[in-house]
Amino acid sequence: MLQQGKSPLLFEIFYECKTTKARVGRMALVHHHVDTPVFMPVGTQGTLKGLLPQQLEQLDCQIILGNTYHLGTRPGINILEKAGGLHKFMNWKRALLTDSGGFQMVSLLELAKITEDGVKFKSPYNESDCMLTPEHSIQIQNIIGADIMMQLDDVVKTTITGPRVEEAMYRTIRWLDRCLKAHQRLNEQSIFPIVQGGLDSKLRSECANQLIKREVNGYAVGGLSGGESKNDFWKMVHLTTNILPKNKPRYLMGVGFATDLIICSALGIDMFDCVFPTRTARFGCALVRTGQLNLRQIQYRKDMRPIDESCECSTCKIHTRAYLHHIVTVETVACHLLSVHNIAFQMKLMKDIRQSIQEQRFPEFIQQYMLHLFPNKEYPSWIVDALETVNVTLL
Amino acid sequence: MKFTTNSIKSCAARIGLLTEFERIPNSTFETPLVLVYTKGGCVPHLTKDVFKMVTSSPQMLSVSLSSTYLMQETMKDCNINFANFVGMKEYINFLTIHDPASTTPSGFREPKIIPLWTRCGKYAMTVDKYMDIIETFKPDMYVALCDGDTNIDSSRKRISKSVESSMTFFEQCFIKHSSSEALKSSEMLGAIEGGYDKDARTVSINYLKTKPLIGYVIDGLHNNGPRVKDIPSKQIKDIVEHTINLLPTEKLKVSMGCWNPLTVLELVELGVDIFDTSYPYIITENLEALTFLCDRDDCNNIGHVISFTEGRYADDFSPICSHCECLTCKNHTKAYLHHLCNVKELLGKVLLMIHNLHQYLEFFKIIRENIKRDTLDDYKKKINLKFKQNNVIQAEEFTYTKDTKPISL
Ligand SMILES: [Zn+2]
Ligand SMILES: [Zn+2]
Ligand SMILES: [Zn+2]
Repeated sequence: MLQQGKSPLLFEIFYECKTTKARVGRMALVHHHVDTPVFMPVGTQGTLKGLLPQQLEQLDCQIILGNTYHLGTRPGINILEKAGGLHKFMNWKRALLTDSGGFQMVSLLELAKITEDGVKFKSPYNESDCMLTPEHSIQIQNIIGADIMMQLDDVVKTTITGPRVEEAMYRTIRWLDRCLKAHQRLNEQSIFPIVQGGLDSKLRSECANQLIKREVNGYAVGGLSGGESKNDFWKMVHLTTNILPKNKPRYLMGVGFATDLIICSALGIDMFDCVFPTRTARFGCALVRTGQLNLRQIQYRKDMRPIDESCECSTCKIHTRAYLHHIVTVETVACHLLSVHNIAFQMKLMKDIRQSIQEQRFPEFIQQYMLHLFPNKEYPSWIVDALETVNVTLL
Repeated sequence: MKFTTNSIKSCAARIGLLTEFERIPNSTFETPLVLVYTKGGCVPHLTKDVFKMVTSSPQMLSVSLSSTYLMQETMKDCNINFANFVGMKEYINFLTIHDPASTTPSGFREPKIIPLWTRCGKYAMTVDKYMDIIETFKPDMYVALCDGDTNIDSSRKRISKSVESSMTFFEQCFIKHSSSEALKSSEMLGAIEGGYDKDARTVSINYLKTKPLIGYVIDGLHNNGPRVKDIPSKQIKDIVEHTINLLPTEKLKVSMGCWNPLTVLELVELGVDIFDTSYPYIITENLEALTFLCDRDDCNNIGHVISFTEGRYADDFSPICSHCECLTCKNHTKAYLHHLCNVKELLGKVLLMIHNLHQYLEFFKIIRENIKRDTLDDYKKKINLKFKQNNVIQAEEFTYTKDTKPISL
């Protein structure tokens, strides 16, 4: 594949942590720049849980996700094409990223079958046989028009071992080449390959080493947001970022809990996404440094404090836990208020991470954060081990 | 609080001014005024920052006890008034007993008690309990406890009972209100009852018009809820005219409920000063957008609403109305709204509420302008046309499919 004209993704690293593998950078994309490490909220169906684009901008979101499978189903690619892409359809002027649709399909549709051609599935609407090929996925993503697209990968459950993992890994590489060939908008969109290989170090390394031979603008690390043990999880991340080139952004798919964001930033990841902050808002949960508050609980009934005294979001500036307690799961506004707070929480955490890296105090930041989270210093061993490998010892 | 109007005729459209609110002294409101309907302390679907994007002017909120009653224990124990508790302290609030947007169950009557319907069931309101709650809420305006459980079908016996018990409730509320330290900054309004029975209305009015009140709520015409929008103007015209004729001209007149715009205009012409926005809320819940306001020749909307359950908007990339200045119309297309409604995403109702609320606030601005210019009658004729055309279209559209076929990958 030959890049012509201006690259749709320019990645610049401004600061590197002298202790860990963390770095602060900026991706210049066609629609907006993105400061990394970044958390990307998920707007599955062309909207982010009741929030207006204006509110997302106020929250300082620079990039959000759309799900290709959902968008391709409703409103459908015909509508999106007529609209001139997802940006215009939803009136979002900043950056977008879309997944390939494969993961959603395999996890949502029981009858999805993977063949060398692509993912075979029965349409949930008319029972007809359909096939999502790598070419088709890119064709749809070209229509959606996100700044960053994902290759179609062969997804296996992280708990599966044996030859199926190896098969999926090699197929993912073959599918990447088909995706790159099918890509029609080289000056506007970038395809990220996805490092697969399950929890097998050899397969992971092989996959990463193959993928870095392709000319791409960034890489994703996939298959690590399932039910795997945290020990396996961080080791795979660590191993992969060691192989991936330093000068390209690295995206860890489906990961977004605060602790994971901090540790994986230390392991050299630049991009994260997760439905959790907005999904948990729907059930009345607010994110705080020590975990989350379930505002439905009776203990908040007369709690006249904001969710978080130090939070600058509009929810915390205006409303108390007591008021939120009375409207969660009753008024849709409660869901919006908690989404605002939870996104603000994720954005603030990433900002703190970036700032501490920039000021060369990221190790201290990690130490303080973990101490706050585990005041009795009973740190989970995976956290201790992961941080040790990047030279951070907890207090 | 003060209400002034230059109107000398009773039963005529008029401009009035509400001023001198104790809690927010520099707030003034021109009437006919529409109260912004709230539920559980918020404008439905709109966070406060979004509500402020819809309107930056001072607004008066309508608050129903039935949607906020469950908060009263917390408010009382934490010694905080309603405006502060829900984070809406810069807005004047007006507390009513029932929620105008949801149907109040009829019946369940016991002596000396008004049933209050909350999402956790029925609570029995006695005068003592009610006034206790009012002291906790400290609303800027509220209605004395009353029995408004009457409608067009009510029997004479039911009507006279409602008038009678409402007078007793008022008497007791008035004594409590007058001696309450906590309610010094609150205004209590009296509810005129009497269903559609002129004699009963006269009894209710004769009793209340001697009281030192700023105004009255014309109650007992319906049991709230979405069906109020289907009540034709002619059903209420006579009884409201009778009521207003007997009331002192200079006093404030309030009519709550999701009256459709035609009925609102009728009520304005009869001299009603205050309404609420439960109508645009109910329209939003139906996944509809109001289009009755626009009178441009090049407007594509001929009816008074458009419905986003209709497949024809799936690929319509124009705004609801290209002349509408609201946030939704400035930024989003009908196709996007159709998609959001189709996949039941929360943003659909957020965007519809923004547009519908904007339209309704504009509607009242236009009403006031027309009264000032003495052109309300012409305006009414124009609006009437929009509603008639919609009915014709609806009849023709029976064959339309409800949903667009999703396009599979
Ligand atoms: Zn907050
Ligand atoms: Zn128009
Ligand atoms: Zn509009």
